[in-house]
Amino acid sequence: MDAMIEQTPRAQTPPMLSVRGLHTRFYKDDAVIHAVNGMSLDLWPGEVLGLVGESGCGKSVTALSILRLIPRAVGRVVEGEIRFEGRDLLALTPRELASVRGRDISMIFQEPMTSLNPVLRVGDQVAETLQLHQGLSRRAALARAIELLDLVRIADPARQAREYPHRLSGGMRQRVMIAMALACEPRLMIADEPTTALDVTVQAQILELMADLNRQTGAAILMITHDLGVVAEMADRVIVMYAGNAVEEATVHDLFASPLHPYTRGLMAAIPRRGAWRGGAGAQTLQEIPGMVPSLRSPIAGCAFARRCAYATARCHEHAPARQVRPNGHAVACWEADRMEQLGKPI
Amino acid sequence: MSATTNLAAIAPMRRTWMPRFLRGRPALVGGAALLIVLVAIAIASPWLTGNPQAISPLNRLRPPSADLWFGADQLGRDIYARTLQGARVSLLVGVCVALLSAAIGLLVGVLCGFYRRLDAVVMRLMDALMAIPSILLAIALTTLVRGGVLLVIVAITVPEIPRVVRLVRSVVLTLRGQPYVIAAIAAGTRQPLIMLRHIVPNAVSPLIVQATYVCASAILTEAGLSFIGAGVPPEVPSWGNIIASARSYFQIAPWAIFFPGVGLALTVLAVNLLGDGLRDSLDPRASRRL
Repeated sequence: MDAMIEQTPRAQTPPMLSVRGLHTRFYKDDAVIHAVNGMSLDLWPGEVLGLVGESGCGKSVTALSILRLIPRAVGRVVEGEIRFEGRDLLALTPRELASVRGRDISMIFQEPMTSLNPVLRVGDQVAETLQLHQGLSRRAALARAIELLDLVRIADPARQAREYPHRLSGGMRQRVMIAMALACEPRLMIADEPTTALDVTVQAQILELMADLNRQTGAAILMITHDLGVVAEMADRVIVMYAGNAVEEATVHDLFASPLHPYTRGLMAAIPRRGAWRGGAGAQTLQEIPGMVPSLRSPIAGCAFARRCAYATARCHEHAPARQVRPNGHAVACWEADRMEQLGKPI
Repeated sequence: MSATTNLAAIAPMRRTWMPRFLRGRPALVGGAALLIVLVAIAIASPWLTGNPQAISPLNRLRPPSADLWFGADQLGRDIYARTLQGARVSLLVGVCVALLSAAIGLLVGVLCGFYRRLDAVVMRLMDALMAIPSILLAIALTTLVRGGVLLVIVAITVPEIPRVVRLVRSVVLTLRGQPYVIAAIAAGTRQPLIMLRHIVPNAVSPLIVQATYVCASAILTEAGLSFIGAGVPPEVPSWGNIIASARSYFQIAPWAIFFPGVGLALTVLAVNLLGDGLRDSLDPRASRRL
């Protein structure tokens, strides 16, 4: 696996974030849920990496594992290594961890409606991070918070800073969340479905804002989404996840030009689009991937996608496919990748 | 109804003398107003009345009249003076028990919600405390030390604490999973600040509501304790001991029981109305009128 990484085109500089063989499990009553199974990823400074997959594939759990936000009572990282700028995040003391969170790595969450404390004014919430990590006085932090609210394009930031969250719309609250994430100029922002709860026009504004901030501040972004459209718009590189592991990894261009994993192909075929239908005039139904995400309550033998895969062979059911890497850095975990390549674009 | 409310919400805010959270809440306004009047009477009672302990044999069992508004008891003591001054003990006990149990309950409940090991131990202790009836505890304490208002407050507070701790703990456990708490942890906020800034302020409103109910039940318990003689000493008039001493003459002088009884009922009613009103306005899920 390490050999594969050395072949990637950016191997000249070391990655800022490197996750190796991450296994995260949840414990519910007597059941063990294998949420993340051997996930690896690399993220270089200034890069936007998209992490896609359907609900329950382990995208968010991977993100939460990186910042160690999974409560001990619920689940834990049982195996693997998470290195950020050379430091092993899994070995940090609570105090060290608190100084990494928000200052070096910040996080934007999915639910803007509930991600702000209802009893604190939004300005004070943005200021909190600044007071924590930069030791600013309350007044200085508040002044800086107003600048940040302006940066995320909130109109009349001085007045909005004095409002309570319930007076703000979903889009506004997500902007406040982004302002909080940006406050200490982190080198990495993890955005967990930042636009899922927002309507389409607001979604576009937020994505544009994040892309601008990525260019301006050079902060790397780990963008978690189930929306391939968001990935196409934002990401430099994409990792497709399925059942707690990466199945395909490529630059956005390569991924959309020649998806090598049947799951990725299935996802792309499932995007509704105007005037595109397979099999000519009659077949207008939207493509779907048959079957369901496998249960994660026990380890899966063979390829996790085999049962839903139209191209699966006997080998797929018995042996988990090894990750193979093309010369252009396009990585895929599928026995039948060569066949997929010959099939061309899914639509 | 709903149409007018919605229109009122859209229309520019009308200026009224009432703060917005009080509008349309008769229970809250009524309870608060009644309670304010009762508290004012209790505070002012030494100046409104004569000596509640003064015995006047001429007035024995005198019915209410122009100069003895509430009548007199079997010793000729002025029921008006005794009832008004009795409010002081009831309200003092009610408020002190509510504040004490809320403060201790908040502290212990938040810690239990955060530290699982502590939680396991403290919760068993709370179960044990809950098994003690406040009346029996008060009787036990009065036999050990000399009775007084402070003792009554302690005796009533101790069995109330577990209820408050349980409430706060469950609220804290819910709040800990809230996205804004996780977001604050992700922003690098350390645990003590998480508790103080993000958990406690959000746990306060259910606590205030609970405290009003504790207050009402403490007032009743105090009256019960004083009635059986385990409460405040007899030289301090309390609604419980006024009723107790007039009990044997109830057939011929019912006013001696009637007036303190009304005082007790009105006070508990006012506190409960306030509690219900606060619950409705502080907890948006309980009653959002559309």
